[in-house]
Amino acid sequence: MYYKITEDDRIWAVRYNGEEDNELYKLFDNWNDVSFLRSFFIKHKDDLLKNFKVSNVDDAIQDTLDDASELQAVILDFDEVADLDSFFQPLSDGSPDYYLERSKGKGEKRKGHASWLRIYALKIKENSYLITGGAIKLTHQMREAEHTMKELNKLYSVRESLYKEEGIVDGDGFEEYIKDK
Amino acid sequence: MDNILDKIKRNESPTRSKWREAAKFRQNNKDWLKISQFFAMFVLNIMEDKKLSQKAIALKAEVSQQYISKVLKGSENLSLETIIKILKSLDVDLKTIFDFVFKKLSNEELDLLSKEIYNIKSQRLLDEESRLIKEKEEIELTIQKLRDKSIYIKD
Repeated sequence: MYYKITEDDRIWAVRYNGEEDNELYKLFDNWNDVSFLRSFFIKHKDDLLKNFKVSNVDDAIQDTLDDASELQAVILDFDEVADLDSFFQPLSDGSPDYYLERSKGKGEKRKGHASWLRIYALKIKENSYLITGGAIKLTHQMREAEHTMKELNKLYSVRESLYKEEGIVDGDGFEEYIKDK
Repeated sequence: MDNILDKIKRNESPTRSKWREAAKFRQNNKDWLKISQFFAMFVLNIMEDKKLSQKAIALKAEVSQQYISKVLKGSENLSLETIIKILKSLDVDLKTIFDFVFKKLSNEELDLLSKEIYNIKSQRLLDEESRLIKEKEEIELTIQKLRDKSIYIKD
């Protein structure tokens, strides 16, 4: 099932079977939940230290809360003329999918590291996206961690369910389809 | 060929997403939410140090375990009474939590707080000054009355 996030039909979010809410709602609920964040960073403390040089769990929680607030403001500010294609970035692993993060240059008063928050999306057509999930990405590649790998699988399965009937089987075909639309 | 957006619209939820409403709530209430999040971080640290469970705190603070779970999310608008109850259940004093919160504040926030404390102190001094002036006036009035009375008695 799909939830409309912006009234202009340009941003949507998936709600998976068995889940209490859509992915965007769930992401921000988790990213504002101190208890959830603490458990997450304790579990991933090795990646946190290795890739971001952050050793204090409370610092990681605070940075996440601050970045979630910035990212939330970015989405709330989207209006019908916003150039969404300039906000959503293509994933670097060669798949035809996209992600949204806190705008570069915003929230830079916090020193130390780039934001690790990611919202993953499929491009429906020019300037239109369907959010399939998101993650706290602490590794260079999504395939390096179980929870980001799960997000890749979600992107893949939603893409497959939506585009299979269109006869699109790979990334190149998907890009062609988007351009046609 | 079917349009993907049409396909999405055909499977659109009959209910609206609560995301925007929740996001605006967080944005409009960020000041007290920040304090609530600091408090959750503080309590979780103490729980770990003292090996305390949510159930143990709930029992001591005389609140439900579900409520403690919400407090630990950092999204509860806590009353002072509840804060004190939880601190007592953790066996920590107010100074310990103030120290924790002050360390978390940014320099800008500390500057704002210093100004606020300065304003509160200034107001207290002004109030004290007004009180003393009023007291002085009352004493002077009493003395005057006594003098008047004294003159009357002499006469």
